[in-house]
Amino acid sequence: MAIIETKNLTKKYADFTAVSDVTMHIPKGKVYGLLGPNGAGKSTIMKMFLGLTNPTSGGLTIDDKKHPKDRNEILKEIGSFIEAPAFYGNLTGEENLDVVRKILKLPQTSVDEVLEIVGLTKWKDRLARKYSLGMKQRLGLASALIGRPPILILDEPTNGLDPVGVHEIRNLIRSLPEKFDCTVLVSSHLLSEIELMADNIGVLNHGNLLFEGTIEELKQKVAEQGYSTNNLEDTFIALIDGDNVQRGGMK
Amino acid sequence: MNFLSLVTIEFKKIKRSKILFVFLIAAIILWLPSIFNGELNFNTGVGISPEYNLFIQGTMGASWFLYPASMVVATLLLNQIERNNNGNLKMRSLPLNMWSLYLAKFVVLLALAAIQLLIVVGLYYASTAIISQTQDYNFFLSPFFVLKEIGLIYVSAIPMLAVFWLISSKIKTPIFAIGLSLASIVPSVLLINTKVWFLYPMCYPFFVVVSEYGKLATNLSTSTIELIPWIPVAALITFICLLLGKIERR
Amino acid sequence: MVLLELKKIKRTGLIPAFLMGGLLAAGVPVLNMFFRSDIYLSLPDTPLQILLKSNWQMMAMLNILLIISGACLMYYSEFLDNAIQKMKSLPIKESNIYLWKAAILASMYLIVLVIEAGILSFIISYWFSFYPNFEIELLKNFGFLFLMGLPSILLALLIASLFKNMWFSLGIGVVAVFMGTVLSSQSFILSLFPFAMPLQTLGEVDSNQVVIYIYVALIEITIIALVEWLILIIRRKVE
Repeated sequence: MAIIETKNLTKKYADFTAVSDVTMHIPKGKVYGLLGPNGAGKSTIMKMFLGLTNPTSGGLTIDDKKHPKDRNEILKEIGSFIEAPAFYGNLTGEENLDVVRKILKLPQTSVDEVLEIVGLTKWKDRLARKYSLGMKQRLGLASALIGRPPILILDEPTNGLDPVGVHEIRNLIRSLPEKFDCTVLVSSHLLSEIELMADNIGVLNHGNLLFEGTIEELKQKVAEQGYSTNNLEDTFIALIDGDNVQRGGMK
Repeated sequence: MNFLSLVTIEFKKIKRSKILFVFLIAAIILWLPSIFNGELNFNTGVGISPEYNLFIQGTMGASWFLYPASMVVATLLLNQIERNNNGNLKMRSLPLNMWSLYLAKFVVLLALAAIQLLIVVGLYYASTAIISQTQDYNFFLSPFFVLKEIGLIYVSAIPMLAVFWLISSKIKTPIFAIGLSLASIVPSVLLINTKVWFLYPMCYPFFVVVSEYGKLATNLSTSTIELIPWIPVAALITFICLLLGKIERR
Repeated sequence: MVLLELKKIKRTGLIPAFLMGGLLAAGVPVLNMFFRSDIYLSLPDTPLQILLKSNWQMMAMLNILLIISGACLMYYSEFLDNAIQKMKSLPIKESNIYLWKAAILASMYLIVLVIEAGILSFIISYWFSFYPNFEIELLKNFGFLFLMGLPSILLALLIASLFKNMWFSLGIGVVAVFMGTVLSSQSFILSLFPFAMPLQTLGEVDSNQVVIYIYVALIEITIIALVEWLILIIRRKVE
């Protein structure tokens, strides 16, 4: 059963189309990986789920609720981390999370809990503007995870993390549906990451959803088209290149 | 990297900042009351001709508040473009002398100050065109006179710009920097009437305009500009402010 | 929510700046009395009115400049590291953020007025002397000044919320303040502009216009808040 569904979702700006006729189904209680090259429209789709951007056309339901009517109800259910970490530079890591905690009406313990989960406890009293890139990333993640929301939307969560951090966060995301009883939508342009994290994937290119299904199904589809499936990275590039060629040689 | 290239780069950084739009709005608001109150330029009671009165009233408003305040805004722009998105970090990681950067930005500030005044002049002529029509009187003043007066205002404002630039660059907390600079503008009205006005750079442009007002009005006497000690003090203040730019916070 | 908004201004220097600004503005009448007490002591009218007539224009200018700087800074903190995006993705109304910021700015303005009223009381006790009904006159005058400042607080925050770049919102704010100073001396109608209202004192306004000023202040507060609400709705629709 899909907790998030879109039907012909489209977002057009004055000079280009960011998302074009995307029909997606994000199953409940699973990790859904949204793959695509830079500029494919991943962040735009996520922003539409949060109501930060309005679709030009098409429909979108989140747990049977719609924007803008059910905006507050939807946002109570979603923990998000979009694009770059968003925070108050003049507040410490802990204070930043406390701001989110109070808005979500969560208990004080939720701040310490989530700091522990993302590994920021040691630096919780440092000002956020003095955080390293990795720490800012962890802070962004923490502000999404706090309170264990039923839906998590994470845009390139492992950006800027060291290999140990990448491993930690990847394992965390993998365990979330079972540990937190939640659904995770995670985007990335790193195949290796998505392969290790996601149950289902969607592949975006130039705003179009080229594929949706499991990784096995992706390999099957690509094999049918005559491309190699030994290496998922090659598979992905082949799929994208194929789509670009169809569009008229755009790279 | 030579200084001129640095200045060119600094100009590039303010592209698309829309600061000129702010200057334009400021100049429009400056001259708008004159357009609506054209008749007040006649019978002023201080023995000044209507066309000079119109010009002086406008430049008084500019020199007392609007011009210094716009310059505070300009200093904020020049510093914020470095602070946003870590541009400052990039500058510090390049083989650049920070004092040269400070001075280059000051040159840009001087240029913005000149542009602001030129916009004021442009809109002065636009408003005189309108008022001359509505009041059926020729309010136009010779461009030589106008540019001479504006030039005086500009030159007298340089020490003030040096002080604003120092405050804006060295006080990292924006509210203190802006607050201090803006607050320093307000007492100008009082200080121009004191003997020690030349110690307060923020009142120089206003003092100059009020002094010119006294020269142009037969029934009004205002303080005259005495070059000594004004020029040495002004030069010293400017020099010290630019030199203090060398101080770097670690 | 107000505690949250207070938390957001931690370490920005906003509160100390307001306190210092209040003291600076309050310093104006002190300096005036110090250097020119003989002029003021010989004037007719109550001491409070004498002090306000001769000092309020400058004190109010400093107050308004504090207000626009404070408003710009409050929204600058939201835009700088994109915290506003986080706020938009949480179940709170953006309009509430605006209203709570207005409440904080209004409270700080009140504190500034209290400081100024305190210093004026000190000046009266030192150079003049207290007189019957002084406290009531002080309360009435400063109550009026507080109400006159509220529309400018809301308008300053509206301007600051519109632009990500602090210099742009400060630039517009500074121009609006200039407009206020020009309009306040033009005519009664023009002195009703939000940035002109804080310059009006109870003593200098005609008694039959006082009620109009009060009503207009309340109407402007409502209209500006509504305009902000509309802007937020429109922005969300077009994003």
